[in-house]
Amino acid sequence: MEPNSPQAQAGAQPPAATLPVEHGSESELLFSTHVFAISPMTVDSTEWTRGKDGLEHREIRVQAKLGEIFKGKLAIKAGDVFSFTVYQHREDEFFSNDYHGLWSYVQLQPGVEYLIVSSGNTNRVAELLKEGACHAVLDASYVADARAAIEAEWIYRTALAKADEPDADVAAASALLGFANGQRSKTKDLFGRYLWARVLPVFLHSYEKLEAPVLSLVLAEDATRELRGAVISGVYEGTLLLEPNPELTRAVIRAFFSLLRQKSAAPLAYKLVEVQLYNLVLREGNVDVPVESIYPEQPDRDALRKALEPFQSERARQLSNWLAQPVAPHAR
Amino acid sequence: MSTQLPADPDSTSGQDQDDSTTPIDDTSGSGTGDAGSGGGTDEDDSPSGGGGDQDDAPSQEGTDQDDEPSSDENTDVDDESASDSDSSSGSDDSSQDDASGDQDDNSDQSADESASDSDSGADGDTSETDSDPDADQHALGNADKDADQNAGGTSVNETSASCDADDNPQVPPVTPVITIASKIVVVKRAYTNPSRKKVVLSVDDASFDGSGTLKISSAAISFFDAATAGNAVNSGANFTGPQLGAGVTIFAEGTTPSAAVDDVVLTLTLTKGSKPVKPPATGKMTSVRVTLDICQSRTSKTTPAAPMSQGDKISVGRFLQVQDSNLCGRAMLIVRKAEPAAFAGNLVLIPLNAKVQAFDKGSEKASGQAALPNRHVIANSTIDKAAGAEKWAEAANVSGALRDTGFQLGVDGVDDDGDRVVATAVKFTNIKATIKSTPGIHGARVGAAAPADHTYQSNKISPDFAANLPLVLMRNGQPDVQLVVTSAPASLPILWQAIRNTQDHASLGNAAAVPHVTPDADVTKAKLNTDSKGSFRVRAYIDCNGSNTYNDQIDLEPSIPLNLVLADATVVTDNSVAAGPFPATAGQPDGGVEIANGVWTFGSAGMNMELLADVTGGGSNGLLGLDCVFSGLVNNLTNVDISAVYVDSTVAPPANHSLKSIYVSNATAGTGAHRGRKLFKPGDPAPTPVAWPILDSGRSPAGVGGETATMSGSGPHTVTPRPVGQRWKIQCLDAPSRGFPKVHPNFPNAVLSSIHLLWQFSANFCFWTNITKNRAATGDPADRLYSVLRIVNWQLAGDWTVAYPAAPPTPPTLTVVTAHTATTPSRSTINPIGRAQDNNVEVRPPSGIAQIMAWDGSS
Repeated sequence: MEPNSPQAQAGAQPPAATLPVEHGSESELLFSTHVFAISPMTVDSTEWTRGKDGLEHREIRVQAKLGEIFKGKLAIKAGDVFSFTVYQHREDEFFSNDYHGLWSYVQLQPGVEYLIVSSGNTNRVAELLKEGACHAVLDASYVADARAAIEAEWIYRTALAKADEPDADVAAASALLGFANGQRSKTKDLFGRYLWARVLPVFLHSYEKLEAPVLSLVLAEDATRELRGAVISGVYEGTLLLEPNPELTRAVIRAFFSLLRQKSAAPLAYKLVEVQLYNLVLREGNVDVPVESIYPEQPDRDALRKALEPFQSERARQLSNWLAQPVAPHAR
Repeated sequence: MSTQLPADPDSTSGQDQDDSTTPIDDTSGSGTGDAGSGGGTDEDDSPSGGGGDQDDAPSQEGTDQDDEPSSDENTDVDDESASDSDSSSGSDDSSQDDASGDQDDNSDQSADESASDSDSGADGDTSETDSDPDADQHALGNADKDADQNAGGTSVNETSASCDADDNPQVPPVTPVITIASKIVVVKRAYTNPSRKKVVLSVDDASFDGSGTLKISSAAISFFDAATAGNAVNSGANFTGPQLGAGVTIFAEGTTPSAAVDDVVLTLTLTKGSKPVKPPATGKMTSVRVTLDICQSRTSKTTPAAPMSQGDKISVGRFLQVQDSNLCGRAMLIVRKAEPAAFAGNLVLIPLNAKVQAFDKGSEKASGQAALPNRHVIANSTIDKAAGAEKWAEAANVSGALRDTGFQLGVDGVDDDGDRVVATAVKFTNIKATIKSTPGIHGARVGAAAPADHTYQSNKISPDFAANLPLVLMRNGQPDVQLVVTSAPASLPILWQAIRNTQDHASLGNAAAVPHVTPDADVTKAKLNTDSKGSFRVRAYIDCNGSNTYNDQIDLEPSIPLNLVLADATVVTDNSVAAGPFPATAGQPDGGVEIANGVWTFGSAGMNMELLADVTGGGSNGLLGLDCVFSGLVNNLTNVDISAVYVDSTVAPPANHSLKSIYVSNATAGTGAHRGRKLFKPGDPAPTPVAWPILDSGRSPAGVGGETATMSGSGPHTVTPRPVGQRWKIQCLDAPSRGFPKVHPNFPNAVLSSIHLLWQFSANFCFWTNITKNRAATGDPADRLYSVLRIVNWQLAGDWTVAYPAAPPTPPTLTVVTAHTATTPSRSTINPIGRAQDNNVEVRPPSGIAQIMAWDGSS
């Protein structure tokens, strides 16, 4: 427990330890109205039948137990049993062309806990689980994200409430990042998107104060892949929003390239090469990023070129070529 | 109204009344006429014309009594009057005259009395008609009865009258009489018709057998022998005694303005016959020219409004927009100081009809501001000689034809038609925009009619984007949006112009960067090319200053705006990426094989499509109209070659059979069925392929507008605020799969042997708009019009051979011949954003999935 957590300060008058509803946020934990856990007890499916629309359809009837409620009010309490029905659609068992909705790709298993993220002007769980209302059905590992976000929100609001302090928002974002660092080995992308939704507005005006802790989180090898991926996406988009900002861009490029040499970041490397690094360095219409401004030393470039070798894409080749540019004399 | 006497600055008010009622002949008019200005008697004139006759008599009698003793005295008095004419006569009247004279001096009372007992009534025209004969008769009567008196009372008589003294005193001399209906005549213009004013030349003796000669001192007033047309009566004209005895009526028409008040002097000189004659009679008149100007709209707020030329104010006229919610401009009217400047009467400004009205104030119409009365009287003395008097013209009711309204300016109590300005009261009702929908790349295909055009109608004239919601389209959405304005009356000289919203952020473009609007031959129509970005007002307007441009936010030329937002989108980054190497494909327990391309979750799908785009609308923050802009990924199949080879080893040599995924227009011709789709069997008609590209939306219905053209996995964008506009993240995922059974559906002995996968499609990041702010297909403008910003061409490829163990149902073994990959062979940005059809993007049905996909197992 963090020393200033809501639990630790229960006697004071801390901000409510709840997640607000923020429409338009990129964070599911913020834009949703409800977050709760369920554990299916029985899952019954009807036979697939082909409808007039050419698709096959079936019903999934579920009896489940409500787990912990992380956001929003529900008509039932944790531990109560409830039923709900969802529908699945497909073209054919061996034929799939299009996306047919969230539930069409979820196979609930009895006895397994799931985290539900949904939105609706209702307190009825069955309504919140319907297609359209339900945004995500996540495995139980994401419960940690929900818990962390609640605690983080309290930390954030507490810091932000110190309005008399200059840069209260910077302090709040820094506090969040500090908390996230402590949670990095158990939280994933759900928390990562929450974190970045809070950090981004501050990053856009005070990136120089947040750059170090943010990149530290990106580079932390003990952080979960999903959390790092979410923060990488956030930093990438934040850097794009701040363009032209050569200093920040160089720092982010350096950090992202260094990930290519981290074994723990291997699952992130493909997207880093194909999306983030390519776009920051070479995308069409981009301001030229001189390689010597980032890697003045040849050995560094050679090492990175080697790290790119496993990627056989055109973009990887272009990045390698960029690194292969001769070092200008003045750069040494 | 027999007489309209202008205000004489030298006169007293008391005399005004006298004069207004005693203009009838020169004898009274010259003396009291000077004193008796018509000023202040405008409304009293009509009734007083009749009453004036009665009132005048005592006054004249009083004067006559004074004058009676001798003609010399007359002369003396005349001289006195001449030397001290205006003031002395007035003071004489007020201080020396008897009670009747006092009564006369009481103008109000006199007028009231006149009105009460006069038959002339309040109607000026009627009064004039009625009173003219009275005046004539009265003058003649006076002349008959009181020739001497008249002569004696005529201070202006030029008197060499002593010549008659030699005649036989037993034979009274004949007195010349000039009876002037109105001392003031209004200068006639080519386009005005002020009535000519009667002047009667006569003598007091019907048996007069001499002759008379008329002398006219100035050409400022022309005289004719008829009220209209007729022949000119020029200076020097001679009249016989019998003519004069009967009375000669001539008609005065203003030709040019008098240089001074009373500078037109008529002199009737008699030549004696058998009887002696009195000295000549004289009468004075003034030709008054009034001028009314109407101004053009200004081209600059710092430049005064320029009056229309004298020609244009009649032949072209001013266009005024019928007032609506205080949003329509007025035109400045300038009432010029009448000429001669010393003219002390009143001018009257009159709308020609109820289609226009005048106001004291210009600019926007203040709430509750009342129009000026229909006869708005302005004292000439109050009008600044240089600037004139400013009034403001506004349209109240629409014209039935061009130039059917306007204003006239006259001399109050004399004639209303001294000058005119012409106007047309214009009403703009609406602008209708017809926006072509995005057509199918191959036209209307089987089962899918061509999309209907969108129509949008703007019915308000407010320029306010909040009150008059804009039509929102994408930049470059269409080059030929047809605009039609509904207006009245017919044949208005309408121009078109697009004007940038001055509130637009500078980054959206300057004032010159506006969409092109090309007028049609029919000026009520124009073509709008949406080739700009930002917010605009496309105006149908009438140029009211010759600038050939709509002068925005200066004066309000008659106009109706089509408020317009042209949203723009530019690529920031294309983050689309394949999921990475696919896991190895394995056979199914039942012997079938499914080639999967990831799963339907973001990050795990075979194709993760993501675009960051900066999107702008209009206004200072670039957000105006963005709530009507939508985005999504329109997927097009560009080539699908997915097939399997089945081998029938029961025959010798073994026979190959194909099972192919096809997209055809005659799917119903397939007589078989395979996994919910039509299957072409041997002997069936040949499949008829549908030409690429084919829409692949997965929605039902597909391709009917809005998001129905997008993939079912393409949802609303997310937003990050920008200083101008927003940064949108547009995402979609795709993870299609194809499976093949172990046994060919048409050839039971044929077993799956190989699979070929080549799946090519274009992922098109598209934009559309909907004025109802609805992402779904509502049919509202312009949800069937798509623009494309970024195209990512994808390719899924792979080849496998399939081998089955001898003992079923063991799953088959797959051997990769060509690696299973998802790649993006090419990506392109359409910069600036362009039309879908120009970039080979299909947004129209049929959609590849629901309607036209089938299997060809015929061979």
